[in-house]
Amino acid sequence: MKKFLLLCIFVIHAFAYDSTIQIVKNLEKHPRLAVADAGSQNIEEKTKRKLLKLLIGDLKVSAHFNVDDSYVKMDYVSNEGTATLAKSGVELLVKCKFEKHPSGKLMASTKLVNAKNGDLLYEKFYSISKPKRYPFLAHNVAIDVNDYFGAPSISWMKSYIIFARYTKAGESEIVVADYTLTFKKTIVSGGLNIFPKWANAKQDSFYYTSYNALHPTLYHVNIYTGKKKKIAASEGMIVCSDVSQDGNKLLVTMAPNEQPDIYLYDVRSGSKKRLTTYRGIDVGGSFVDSDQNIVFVSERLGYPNVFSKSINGKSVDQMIYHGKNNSSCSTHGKYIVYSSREGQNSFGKNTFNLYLISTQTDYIRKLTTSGKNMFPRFADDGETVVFIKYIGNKSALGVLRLNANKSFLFPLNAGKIQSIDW
Amino acid sequence: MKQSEILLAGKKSIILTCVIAGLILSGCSQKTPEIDTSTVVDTGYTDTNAVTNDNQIDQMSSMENQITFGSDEERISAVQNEVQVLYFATDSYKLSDSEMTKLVQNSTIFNGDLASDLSIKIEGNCDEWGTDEYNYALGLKRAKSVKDSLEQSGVNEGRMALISYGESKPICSEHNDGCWQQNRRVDFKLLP
Repeated sequence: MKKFLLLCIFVIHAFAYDSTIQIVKNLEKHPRLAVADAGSQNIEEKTKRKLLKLLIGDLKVSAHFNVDDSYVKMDYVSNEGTATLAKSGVELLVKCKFEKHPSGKLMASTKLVNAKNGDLLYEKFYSISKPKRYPFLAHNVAIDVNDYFGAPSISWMKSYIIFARYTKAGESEIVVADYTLTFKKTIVSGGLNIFPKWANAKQDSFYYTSYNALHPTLYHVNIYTGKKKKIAASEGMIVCSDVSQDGNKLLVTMAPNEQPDIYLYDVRSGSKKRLTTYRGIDVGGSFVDSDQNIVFVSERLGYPNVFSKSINGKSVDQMIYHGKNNSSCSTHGKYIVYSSREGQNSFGKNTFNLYLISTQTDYIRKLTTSGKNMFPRFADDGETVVFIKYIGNKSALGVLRLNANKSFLFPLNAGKIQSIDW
Repeated sequence: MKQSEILLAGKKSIILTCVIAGLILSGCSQKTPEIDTSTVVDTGYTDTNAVTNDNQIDQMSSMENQITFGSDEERISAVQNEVQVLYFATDSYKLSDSEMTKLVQNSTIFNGDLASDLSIKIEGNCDEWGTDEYNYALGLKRAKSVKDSLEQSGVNEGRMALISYGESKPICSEHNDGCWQQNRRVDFKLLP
């Protein structure tokens, strides 16, 4: 079984060496997997069902399994019923038993079983001290199932998403959530608080812009201690667009001279260096090539488009030769994902779609086909992109699995997402 | 004289000039009227009370030229209501001719006696289209464009401050062109 799955994954990646090439023919031979409810203790039925649903969803989003939607109930210890499942084509079985400990901890016991012969592939135990964060229990189970087969990691599922959402005109709050938006915790509220950006890979602190002082002000906040530190203020606007790999440098769009430009801000010294000098709009800087170059959005050709330049050089290169309004982008290695306005009528249908290009090939791959899809952000794995999809007055978090050519939407029930980071 | 009791002399003089110009123009466009003098009768009657009354009327007119505000907030609010919002085309931070006319009218108000001591916060706004960070920059460019034009119209640069709210402060939240047009704008906030 494991060898077969590894072969499948190898074949997928052999075809997907360049993510800009769309996989037209998906391999049908993903192993069929079922998730079984193997009982619970001291836990509400509703919570248990949510956990099972989340796990099924996670395994689907991984795009490495053919996951059964049907509800299966089995005993945690015995293999009774496994043969019946195998007859219906199920190859793998994830048994889950959930329990709430008197201390308040939420715990899960899981078994991965080869449904065809009943062999136990592994048994693992999980616990989470804050029950409200229960989605991460399911995400961790899914990550381990996926890892067992050596499939490309989906560990990004346990990362926190941070986003700002407008609550009403002139007001927004900053929220930390899991990638499905099932767990949500508001961490900054009151006034206009926008553009949150994780300060490091540990996700223990973040930057954000507050509009609650005389000038827009950039703050650094530690989410565990609550310590808030003013970084800089600027008349007009200030946004932290990206953080260097070591966390010591920021790309900040600010306007100390009433002119929006991109600055390199040194966190340790507090010094800043102006990187762009065009008299129009330069925004959305993103580090590339080990933080030696930046990619950014500029309207220097008369419309928003993506350009690159060296941190130390002056020359600017156009990166995208497609579309007439490419106002947001994200980079990972040789790939750039960007949002492009489509058609002559800016207010018609199919207005903003996401595209993927490689800096080393001429291929352009269309990632979305309808609606308003904005603010793409690569995950660390380079195979996953999150984005914001606007639907009327509401918004949803989109997850694109590039190599599997699949996308998933997780709607935000209240408010409209302003910006995201993960 | 208190700040809140400032004469609307500048505004009045403009209105008066317009009225006079209107009378002159209307006079020019008409034939000389024929007057039937047979109906004019000199009664020889002089009423001192009537003269007194006339004086009182004059005094009342003079009083009406003075607008008194109970507080600076009232004064600022009154002037704020006269200031016009400026609108922009999609993705543009260039003022059209019609908006430039409104801007010049705003500059007259900003330099008038009621507002000349006030600071002006110029707020750039955008519609919901485009990425938010780009929209914040676009809003700022709109505000900057307005500030530069106001400066050229004689408003002191030191009185003006810029801020961009991107798409965070929509006036209209429907999804149609008319609504988006209302959100592509620059607002003015007068501050003490």
